[in-house]
Amino acid sequence: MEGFDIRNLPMDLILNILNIVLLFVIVRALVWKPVKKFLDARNEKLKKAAESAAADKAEALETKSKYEALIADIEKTAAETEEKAKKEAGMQAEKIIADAEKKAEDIKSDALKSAEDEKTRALENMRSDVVDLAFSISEKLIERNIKDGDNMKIAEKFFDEHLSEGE
Amino acid sequence: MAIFAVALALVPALGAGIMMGFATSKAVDATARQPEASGKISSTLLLGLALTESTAIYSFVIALILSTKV
Amino acid sequence: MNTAMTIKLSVSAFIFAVMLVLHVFFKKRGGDADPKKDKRRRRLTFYGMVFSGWFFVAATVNMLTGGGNGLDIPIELLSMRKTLFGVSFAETTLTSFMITAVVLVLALIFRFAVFPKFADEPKGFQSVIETLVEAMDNFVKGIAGDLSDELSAYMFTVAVYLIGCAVAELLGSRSPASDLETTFSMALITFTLINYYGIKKKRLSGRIKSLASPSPMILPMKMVSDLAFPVSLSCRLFGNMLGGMIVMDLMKSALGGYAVGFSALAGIYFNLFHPLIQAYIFIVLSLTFIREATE
Repeated sequence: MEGFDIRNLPMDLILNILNIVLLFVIVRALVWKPVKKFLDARNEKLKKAAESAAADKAEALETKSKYEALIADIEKTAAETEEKAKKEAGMQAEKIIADAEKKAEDIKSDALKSAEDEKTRALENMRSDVVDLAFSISEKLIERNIKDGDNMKIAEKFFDEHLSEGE
Repeated sequence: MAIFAVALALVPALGAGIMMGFATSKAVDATARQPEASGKISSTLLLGLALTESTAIYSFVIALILSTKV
Repeated sequence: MNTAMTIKLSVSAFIFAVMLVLHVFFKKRGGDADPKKDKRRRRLTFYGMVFSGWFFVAATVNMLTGGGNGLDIPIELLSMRKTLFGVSFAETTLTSFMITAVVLVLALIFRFAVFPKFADEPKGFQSVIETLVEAMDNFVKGIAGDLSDELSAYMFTVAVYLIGCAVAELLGSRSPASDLETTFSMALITFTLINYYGIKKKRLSGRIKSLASPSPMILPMKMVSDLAFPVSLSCRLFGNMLGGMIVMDLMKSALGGYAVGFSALAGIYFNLFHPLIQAYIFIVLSLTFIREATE
C-alpha cells in the first residue's frame, strides 16, 4: 500500500461524490428528463386516444344497436304490410275471380237464354211460316178438289208431328 | 510465513464457490420445476450470488492487502 | 536485435507469405481441381495466415517492448497519484472527470441534435434510448416502489457511470470502479439515499423504530449492519473490478506480446460483461436496501 496517505482520503471522496453528483445533474437534465417527459406525454396521448377511441366505439355501438332496432322494426312493419297486402290481394283476386266467374256464368246463361229465345222464336216463326206455307200449299192443292176440313186437320197434325220431331 | 497468511485468507473463497454452486443448482431445479417463475428466480439468484460472492471478494481483498504488505 | 528475434520474425513472415500465396492460388485456381478440397485448403491456408500473422505481430511487439514481466506484476490497491494545481489527484478521479466530460458532450449532442428529431413512432437510436429509460424506470419502481423519479434518474446515472468506467478500462486507463475511493463514495451516496428515503417515508422516529423492530436489544446490531452496508457494497464492486483488472494485467504481463488477440477475447468478459453484471448488482442491492428502509 505504498503511496497511501490518509490525508488524501477526504478530498478524494469529496471529489468522487462531486463527480457523481455532477454526472447525475448532467444525465438528469439532458437525457433523463426530456426523454421521460417525452415518453409521459406520448403515453398520455396514447391513453387519451385510447379513451376517445373507446368512447367513440361505445357511441358507435349504441348507434348501431339503435339502428338495428330501427331496422328490425321496419322489417317487422314491412312484413306485416306485406302479409296484409298479400291477404288483401288474395281476397281481391278471389273476389275478382268470383265476380268474373259469376259474370261469365251470367253471360253464359244470358247467351243460352237468348239463344233459347231466339230458337223458340225462330221455331215459332218457322212453325207459323210453315203452317202458313202449308196452308197456302194445301189450299192450293185442296182448293181444286177437296173442300172437306178433315184434310186440313190431317195436314196440320202431320206438320205438328213432323216439326216436334225435328226439334 | 506471511505467504501462508495470504493463502489462508483465500480459504473463504472455497466455501463461497461451493455454496454459489449449490445456490445455482437449486435455482436450476426451481426453474425446471416452474419455468414460468424463471424471471423472479433468476433475480433472486443473482442477488443471493452477489451476497455470497462478497465473502470471496472480502477474502480476495484481504489477501491482496496482505500480499502488498509482505 | 538478437538472432532468436530475427529468426522468429523472418520465419513467421516467410510462413505468412507462403500461406498468402497458397491462399490466393487456391482461390484463383479453377478448372479440374476438386472444389471441395480446394475449399478446405483455402481454409487451412487462411488459418495459417492468421496464426503466422499473429505470431509476427506478437514477436514485433515483444521486440519493441521487451516482452512481458512474467507473473510479477505490481498490484496497486489504490491508483497512482498526480499533482495538478497543487492538489493531489488520484488518477482514477481524473478518469472519472474525463468520463463525466465525455458524457456531458454526448448528452449535449443528444439533447440538442438527436432529441429534437424524436418522432412519435420510435425507430433506431430513439427506440434504444426510450427502451433504456423506460426499462430503468420500471426496474427501479418495481424493486424500490414508487418513491420518486429522481431515484430512477440516479440509478440510470450509476449505470451510465459504470458503463463509462468499463469503456475507460477497455481504452487502457485504470477503471475508476477498481479504485476503493470511487466505489466507497458511490456506496456513501447509496447510504445517504437509504437514510434519506427511510426518514422521508417514516420520519426519524419510524426509522429508529424499524431499526429496533423486534426488540430494542437489536438496535446496535442493526445499526452496525446498516453502517457495514456501504463498506460491503463498495468492497464488492471494488473487488470484482480489481479482480478483473488483475486477471487482465496478469495475462498481458505473462503473455507479453503474445497477448495480442487473447486480451481482446478475454476483455469481452473481464472488461465488458463483468462490469455490467456488477453494475446491475450494485443497483439491485442499493434498491433492495432502500426498499427495506422504506417498508
